[in-house]
Amino acid sequence: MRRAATTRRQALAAGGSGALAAAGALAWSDAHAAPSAARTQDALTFLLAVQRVEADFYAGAVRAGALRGKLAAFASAAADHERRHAAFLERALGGAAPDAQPLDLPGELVRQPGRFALAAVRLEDLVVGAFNGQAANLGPQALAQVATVAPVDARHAAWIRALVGMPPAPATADGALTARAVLDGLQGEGLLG
Amino acid sequence: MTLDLDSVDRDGAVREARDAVLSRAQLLGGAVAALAAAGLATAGVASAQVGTRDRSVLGYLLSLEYLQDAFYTEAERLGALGGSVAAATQVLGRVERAHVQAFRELLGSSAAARPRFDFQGATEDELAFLRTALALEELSVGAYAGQATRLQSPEILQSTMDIHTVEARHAAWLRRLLDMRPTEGSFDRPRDRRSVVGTIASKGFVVARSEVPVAFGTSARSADLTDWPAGGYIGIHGTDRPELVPGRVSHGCIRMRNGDIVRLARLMPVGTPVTVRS
Repeated sequence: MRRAATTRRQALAAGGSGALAAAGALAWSDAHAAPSAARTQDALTFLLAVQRVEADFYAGAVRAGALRGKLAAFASAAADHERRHAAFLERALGGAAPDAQPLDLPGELVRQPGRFALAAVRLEDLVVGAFNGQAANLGPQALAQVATVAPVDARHAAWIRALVGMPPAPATADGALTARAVLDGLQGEGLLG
Repeated sequence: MTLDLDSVDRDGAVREARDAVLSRAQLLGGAVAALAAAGLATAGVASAQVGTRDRSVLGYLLSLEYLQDAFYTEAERLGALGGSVAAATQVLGRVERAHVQAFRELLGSSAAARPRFDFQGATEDELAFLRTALALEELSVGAYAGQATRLQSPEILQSTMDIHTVEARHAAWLRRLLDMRPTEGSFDRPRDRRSVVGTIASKGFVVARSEVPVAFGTSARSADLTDWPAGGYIGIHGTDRPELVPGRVSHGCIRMRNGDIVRLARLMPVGTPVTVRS
């Protein structure tokens, strides 16, 4: 079945490609029109896919039960938040949300506390960049919705960074990432299964 | 869900267009980082290109950044905080100063002057400092979220959101320093401009919309000016309370409206003989 050949990366890219598409000549002025419904949908689909990766990652870590203390508390809070974020974006997409695909993560990512923590830092920083990178692709309603989610993931990023002794807010501005850069980053961490 | 980037964007042209917008938007983000490192001007973002509506939003966000900048900078200057709180203050201050500088560059001559603040001791006591800093950061997170849909330029929206998530990181960081959970729940509530401005006004931190721009010293002494640390020398200065001019409220200093003292400063070089008559 063709469907079976679909990789997580391809599924993500389907949303990402729309996010990359149709930018055209954007004017730097008040006259700029809001992004189209199609472009908004593509960007939301991409962001939903990213939130599902997070939700699966944290749920996997909680299920594996190898984390203790503050790391365990972080993982279970993040698992709860990301599950709600994914559900929120699914509702925002209405019937257009694609089905979730189960993510088969490398076991050590969710079982070894050190690997988990570093993957979580990388993941949260990537997701913050993903949100910021799609802001200009979202219509007003979706942008307002996403603006309630993105800062919570930025808080997660600061939280896990502090737990591993890294600067919680390392830059004066969080870099926006292209969909392609997010995909490459997730793939590089083994987070696309 | 079986498409990928390559099948949609066969010749790469679409991808290139999108990436060009993003890299243009990152000029501000990049400029913010460069500002922090080197104090350079915001390269590539010309103030004249910013539209009227965006200017209004940026002006409002600048007022919040001024507040945070002043708060952390004062705490750092007073040096009453120690340990991890002092270390955080240094980073937070540097970041908020860079935000101020970036917004000022973008707004050019329409940027409002830096207001004068009175933090009522909150920069000297650790617990008061952390609670106030957190309140300001949380206010900013809500304020940035509340402005997202009001911005017209995709580049400015992009850069503003890049700052929004930094404020959220700051809030989480401060909450940890206060032994609180870094996030209350799964979603951050946006706040509208009126409620943010009202909250700040209720704190009484902003005591003047601008500082006193110029003060001249003279060699004249006032018999009434006995509580001045270095002696009773008479000054000629501007004021953050122009409603007191004309009036007889000082111990001898000559108080002028800020516009007048700025003009006088252009006309009167240091060393000019001054005669004061009653």
